[in-house]
Amino acid sequence: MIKITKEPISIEAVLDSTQDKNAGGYVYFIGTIRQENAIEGIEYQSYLPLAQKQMENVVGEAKNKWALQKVSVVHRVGLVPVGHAAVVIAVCSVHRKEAFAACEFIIDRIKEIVPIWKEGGAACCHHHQS
Amino acid sequence: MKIFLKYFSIYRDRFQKEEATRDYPSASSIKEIFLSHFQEGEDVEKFLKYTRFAVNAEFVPIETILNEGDELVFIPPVSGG
Repeated sequence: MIKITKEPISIEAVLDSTQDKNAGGYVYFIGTIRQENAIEGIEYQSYLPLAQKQMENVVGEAKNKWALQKVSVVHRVGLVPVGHAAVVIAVCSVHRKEAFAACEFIIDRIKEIVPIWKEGGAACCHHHQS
Repeated sequence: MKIFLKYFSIYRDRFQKEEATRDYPSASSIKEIFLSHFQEGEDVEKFLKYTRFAVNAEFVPIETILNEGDELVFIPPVSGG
């Protein structure tokens, strides 16, 4: 699952999409909007057709660098309210090391090359790892 | 020729619009069209340094010559995540 959506992200659906019997390690990253300066949320703009391609390229890069079983990435655009997820990444691999490295790589690359822009505040990130 | 322009982030703020359709001479380059958005004396280099360009949802060099009906997007530094 690799997508950009204006709808709230179903975290459960993203995590479910990476279930794999051959995986021994799952790493999840959920970037949320934190309360700051009384903002209600952050508005994300995106050039959707190119952003979708670039997200797929990022996942492709990760799969070339590490042996991964499954990868899902969903980024929300439009107004994302405080406390809600702006981005959810789920990675699984046979061993945990690859999943940890790939998950961090993917969020870093999204911030570098995917044409999505935020305005009106700052996003905070919570790591959820297992 | 007609060119469809989409603006995001700093360019949406600067030009106060999300998109526009404009006429340009045939065989105009991206650079010519980009520069036409600025007034004389403005520090365009500052913007050029940090902007990439996409035509029809593909990154392309600034020297690219456009065709009738192309969609051109100025891509300032991204800030997703």
